[in-house]
Amino acid sequence: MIEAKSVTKKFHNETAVRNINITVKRGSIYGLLGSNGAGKTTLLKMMAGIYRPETGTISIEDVPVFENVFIKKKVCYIPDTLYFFPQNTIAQMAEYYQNIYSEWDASRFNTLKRVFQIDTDRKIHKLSKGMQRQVAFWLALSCMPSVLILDEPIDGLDPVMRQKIKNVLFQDVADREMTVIISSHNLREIEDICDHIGIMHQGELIVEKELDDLKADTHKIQVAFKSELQEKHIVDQLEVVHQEKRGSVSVLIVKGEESNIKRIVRSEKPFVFDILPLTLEEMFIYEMGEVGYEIENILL
Amino acid sequence: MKLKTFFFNKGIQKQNVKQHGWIGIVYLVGLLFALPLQMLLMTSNEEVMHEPVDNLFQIGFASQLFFILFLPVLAGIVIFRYIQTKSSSDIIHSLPIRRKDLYLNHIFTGLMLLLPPVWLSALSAAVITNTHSFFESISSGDIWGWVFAISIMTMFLYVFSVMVGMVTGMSTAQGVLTFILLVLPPALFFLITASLSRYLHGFPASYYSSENITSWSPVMKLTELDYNNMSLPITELIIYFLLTIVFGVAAYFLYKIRPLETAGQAIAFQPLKPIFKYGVTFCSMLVGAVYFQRFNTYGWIGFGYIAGALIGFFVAEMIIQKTWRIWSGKLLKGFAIYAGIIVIVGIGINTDVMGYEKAIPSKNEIEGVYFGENLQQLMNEDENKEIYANDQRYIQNVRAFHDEMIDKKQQTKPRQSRRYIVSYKLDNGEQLVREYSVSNNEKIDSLAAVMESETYKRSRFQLSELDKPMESIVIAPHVPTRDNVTISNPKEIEEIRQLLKYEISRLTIDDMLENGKNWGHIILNTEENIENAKSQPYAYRQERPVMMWKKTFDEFESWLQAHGYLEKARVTPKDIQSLEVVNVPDAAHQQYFPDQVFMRSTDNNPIIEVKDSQAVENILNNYSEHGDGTYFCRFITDSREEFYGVLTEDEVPEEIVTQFK
Repeated sequence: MIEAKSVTKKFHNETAVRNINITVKRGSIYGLLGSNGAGKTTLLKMMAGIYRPETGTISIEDVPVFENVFIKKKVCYIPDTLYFFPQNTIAQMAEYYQNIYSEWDASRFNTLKRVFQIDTDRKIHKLSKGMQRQVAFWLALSCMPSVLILDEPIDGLDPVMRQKIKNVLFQDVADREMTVIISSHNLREIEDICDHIGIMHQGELIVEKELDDLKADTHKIQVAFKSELQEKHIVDQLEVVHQEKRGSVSVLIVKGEESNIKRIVRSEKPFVFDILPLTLEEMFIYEMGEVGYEIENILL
Repeated sequence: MKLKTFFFNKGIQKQNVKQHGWIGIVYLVGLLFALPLQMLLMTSNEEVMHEPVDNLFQIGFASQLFFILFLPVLAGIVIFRYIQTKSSSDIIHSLPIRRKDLYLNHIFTGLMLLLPPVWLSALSAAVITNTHSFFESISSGDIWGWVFAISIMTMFLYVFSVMVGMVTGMSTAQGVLTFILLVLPPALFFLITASLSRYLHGFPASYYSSENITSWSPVMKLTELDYNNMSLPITELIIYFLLTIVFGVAAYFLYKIRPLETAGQAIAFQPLKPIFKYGVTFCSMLVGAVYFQRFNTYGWIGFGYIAGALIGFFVAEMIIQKTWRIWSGKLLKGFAIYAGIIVIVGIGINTDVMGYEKAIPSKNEIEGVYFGENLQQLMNEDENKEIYANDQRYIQNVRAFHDEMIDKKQQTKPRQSRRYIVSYKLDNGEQLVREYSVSNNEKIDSLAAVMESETYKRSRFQLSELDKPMESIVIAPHVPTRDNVTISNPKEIEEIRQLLKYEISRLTIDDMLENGKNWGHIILNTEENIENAKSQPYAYRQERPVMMWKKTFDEFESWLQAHGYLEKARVTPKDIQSLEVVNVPDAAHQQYFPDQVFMRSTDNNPIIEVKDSQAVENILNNYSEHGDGTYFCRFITDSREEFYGVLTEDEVPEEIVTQFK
């Protein structure tokens, strides 16, 4: 579990992270979204114990993480700009991590070799950017961390490898209740792996949501009624966050339980009634109402 | 071993050696080339005669110094490079290792890479000294001295570089700042004293900025090692060792509180930025001022201050912000505040708020007083026994001189001047030292009373040396027509001793201020000095006590004549084959050396040859070897030796003066 309590971090005169409270539950995958400069990286670096917060506390498993070797042994951090020791091969780098992380699992390292399929005697610096990122995942996952902190990790990976890594992550989360926090500036990239989403903007966390709630709760329906009155009647009964008219067909974004919505709509006998798929992005935008239109600018 | 297991991390050590091991190899190869290999070269090349070596510092010292200065600093930069680069800093500090352990492990790697090369070099040097008789005067103590000195200086420079690295966020800044800080104390001291001497009348700049301030800089100290003391004294080694520990601990605490996000910035700690900025401004301002002091006008010096301060201020700000586009109103405000403070301090110094210029200790505070032209005497105080006099009348006279000098505050430094130093030893143990420059043609009324006193003469002419047992007295003429005259008859020595004392006692202030009219040197071969010369190597020998044979020493001259020495001891009119005189009216402003005048074309100034033997004798007796005057003379002796002199118009016989008019 990662917990940040009223955390603020300033760089000289600029506040990078402003009074943030965040809780990432054990075994969940938390997606941290935000445009460039929103403060995601700074927050993650504080979680990784690199930066010391100015005020507030960041704890993992209820212990402050800064300079805490005991807890940092269970944490792995993959930064957006990777770093490996110059001239090291994958095997040498693995040996270094083995000396540093007591939980290092050599058999796991060998198992993962099948996933990544890179010769361990190759020098990391000579690998492509995407391959280097795979190596970073490989090393991190071999450390058997309880907490994995990933800063923009999907960049530079091909779709096949992206899927493979997602699968490995899911497996670890499922098997060992690994906690993952993952940052991105693109919601679409991570929407299929996260169960929680937080959106940062100008150093603040403006939205925090559980995806299942969001998905179960928000629906896009297409309806057409004989009379305006019928439509008005159901709109009054439903919690409509957005309404659009296309000819005689209305598109409504509605909150609430699906069966309940169906029952209400059907009671007025519509001659068109469809429930349409809603992208996560739309959900956010509609869900957040006024804030949502701000988010629209942030998310892409 | 317990300590080792405590912080020793196999992973870090292995990686460090893999990554930075080359430093150790370069250091080892460098030192081996500079020392043992150099020794082998010296022994194998028998055709070239080498001066005997009795110390490891004398062998290839320049190359030794190069590696000793640069490799430890470089090691500090390279091994701690991981904190200066954002990507490596982030990864390393996300690992489950405490900063303490990171620090200790990296420090440890550095020492393990740097120290064995020193020891291996010393070991091979030791083997060579034991197998080659050429190095027999190098003892095992000398080798141990080298090992300790170089080991400690290596550690010191390495740890210091690491500490500076903690303060900055850039490797280049770390290197540059390390060396700047290592020479800063004496440099700053020099700049401040050089500036103060201009505004504080009587400020003894040369007293403060003489050679011993270089010991404040380890770099300067090291560069002097080969000729100075040949080794660092044990007390200094202990100090450097303790400083190494202090800086090492300081570096650790700085690392602990270092904000890692400052990797890549010039200064890693926010509060240090203004110190850096205004420190650079201040130093640069003083450099500007001292540089323009040679133009010696207030306009240029003022320009130096302003230009220096502005350049320093903007450069520092550019370094901090890492861009040259720094202009902002806020910046100007900062500079205005700085300028305001400097102006206030400047006014304070100029109006002598502290009463520095006017301070004369009262009579009953003074334990002893020193007056003289010779700074060296004052500096090497303990060697020269007691140089402070406590004769009440003398103290009173020196105070009177001091008082007169206080009122004679000049606006600009005279071109040609004499320097006088006054130093009081006070009853509270303090010292009050002042230095005054007096223009050559200025008359100081109170000076005669001081300089004509026995106390002064005793110290200036080293009269105590005259009282010591002497083996011989050598008279060395300045014009080399004859060999030196050596007098070793004890009776004659005794007579000369008395005569010289008498001659010195009747020297007037004018005789003493005039120091170009000499026939030669009188060298006192005291038994003590001869003993010293035998027992000490050349570099350590005391100087031989020497006196000037002034032309005013009439009685001495008569004695030499009476004993038949005079003709051998100095040039006489009989030796002169020809004499030429030239008048250069503008010489008063130009400062010519006499021989210079004759070298130059003398078309505008006709040369007159003096034939009259009376006039020749007259001129010979009056010429000065250097100094003021518009008449210059060239003597040619029978043995075709030439020598030159200068005379004032009063000193030239009238008939010759009229020839020029």
